[in-house]
Amino acid sequence: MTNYAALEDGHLLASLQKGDEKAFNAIYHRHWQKLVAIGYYHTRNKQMAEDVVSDVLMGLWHKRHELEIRSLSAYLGTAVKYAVFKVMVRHQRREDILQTQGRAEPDDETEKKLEARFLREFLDGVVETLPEKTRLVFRYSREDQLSVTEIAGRMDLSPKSVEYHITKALKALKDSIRKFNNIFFS
Amino acid sequence: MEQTRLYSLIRKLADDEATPEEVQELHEWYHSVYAVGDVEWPSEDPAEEELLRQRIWAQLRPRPRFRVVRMVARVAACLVLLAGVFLVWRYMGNKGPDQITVYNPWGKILQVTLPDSSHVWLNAATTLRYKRPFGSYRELYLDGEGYFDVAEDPAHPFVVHAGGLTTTVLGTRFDMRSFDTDPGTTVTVIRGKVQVDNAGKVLDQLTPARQLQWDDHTRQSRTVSVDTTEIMAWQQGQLRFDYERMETIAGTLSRWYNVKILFKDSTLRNCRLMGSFDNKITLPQILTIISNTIDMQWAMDDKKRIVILSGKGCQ
Repeated sequence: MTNYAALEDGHLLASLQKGDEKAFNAIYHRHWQKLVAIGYYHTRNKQMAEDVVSDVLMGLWHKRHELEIRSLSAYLGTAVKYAVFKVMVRHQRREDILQTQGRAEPDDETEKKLEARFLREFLDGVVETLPEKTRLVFRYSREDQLSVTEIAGRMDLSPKSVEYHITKALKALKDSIRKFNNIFFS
Repeated sequence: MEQTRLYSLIRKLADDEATPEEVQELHEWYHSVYAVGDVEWPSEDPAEEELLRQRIWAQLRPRPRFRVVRMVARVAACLVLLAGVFLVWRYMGNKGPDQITVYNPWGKILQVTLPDSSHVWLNAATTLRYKRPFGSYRELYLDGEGYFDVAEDPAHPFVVHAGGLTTTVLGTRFDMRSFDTDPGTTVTVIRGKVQVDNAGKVLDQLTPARQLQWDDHTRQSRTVSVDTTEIMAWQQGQLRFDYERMETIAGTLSRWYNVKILFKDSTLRNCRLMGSFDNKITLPQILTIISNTIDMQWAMDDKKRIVILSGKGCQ
């Protein structure tokens, strides 16, 4: 017998990754009220609020093998924001279809794009947890597209240690995304 | 922020076309408006929480998939037999953990969304039971009164059992009522078409504004035309009595106010009354109005749990 209600988020996540239904239920009971309140506050609509909760938790379940989630509340915080955006887009789309009696432009891409954007923001959060030097080297390399020599010059480091920091950052990210292709970073 | 502005910002964010200022604006909208704890979910009903959890969980369950490659006929026949046994077993195990029970006690109307996104409004003192998974086999048991707005799905008939009657629909709105204090069971159609059966025999097919009335004593049914606004009054928050017997009215009041109502004088039971009240009215108010209309006195015990009615009624 395991008392799931007493487990910490970290242990629950480990059980969740094994597909444990009880762990999922415990996560649901611990967080649904907050999620539904956030969803309701932004949408002022019960159905949409429910869709928000459903989107966040289904996302968590489907991604349980793919994402290494270290902090559940950080993950949920970002996930619920994008779930609100997605549900609002979905809602507006339904309204469009109703108003135009089905002649609205087909668009199922926006939700997918928001999902990609969410993953990017989640992984940005992972970068944020890296030591400052590693984070800076990584940002120079990926966002400013600087070469190893340029970064070494700017940060007064040897090219070898620049490479070390980049490898470290990439490893942290790879650990976080496991099965995802490196579409966001390659 | 205006809704249209908000939607356009979300779309821009998705398309990576938002300027840093616009991203900032959107995230400010998101973060500035809420402080969790200040926000109250409009219902504190534990049944609703449980239903929501079940709906989400139902969506997470992988759908069973069967792939039959060159199946020998005999094996297939065995499987059909086994499936039959399984279904019977499931049916017998009626009270298993897969059964969901929603109970609405008194003094309010409970709106329930089923896993197939059909909506049900439960009147006071009403129980609704169904089995999960719900989607492929939409069957419910009702004890009390429910107004059903059924999600259209011709492939999966929606079946409600109450008071010995079975109502089968494909996608419609209807009301079904079967309280102990009623002389029978009624089914009223608001939109669409339903079929009502008793013990496997078709009683009638109903179209909008038609009501089937089943009498428990004679075991006969009759179908009449009704004003559906009368039927739907309860769902819209009204206590409405349309030339109803005092006994039926007492039943409605006892469920709504969670009291026991006793008749000291039997003649009072058959007195018929008309009237419509907002369901926020108090029980003493409504009893006073009735006693001003007919020959009736009422008394309530100290704990406000028992009401005794006396008088000659309409005589």
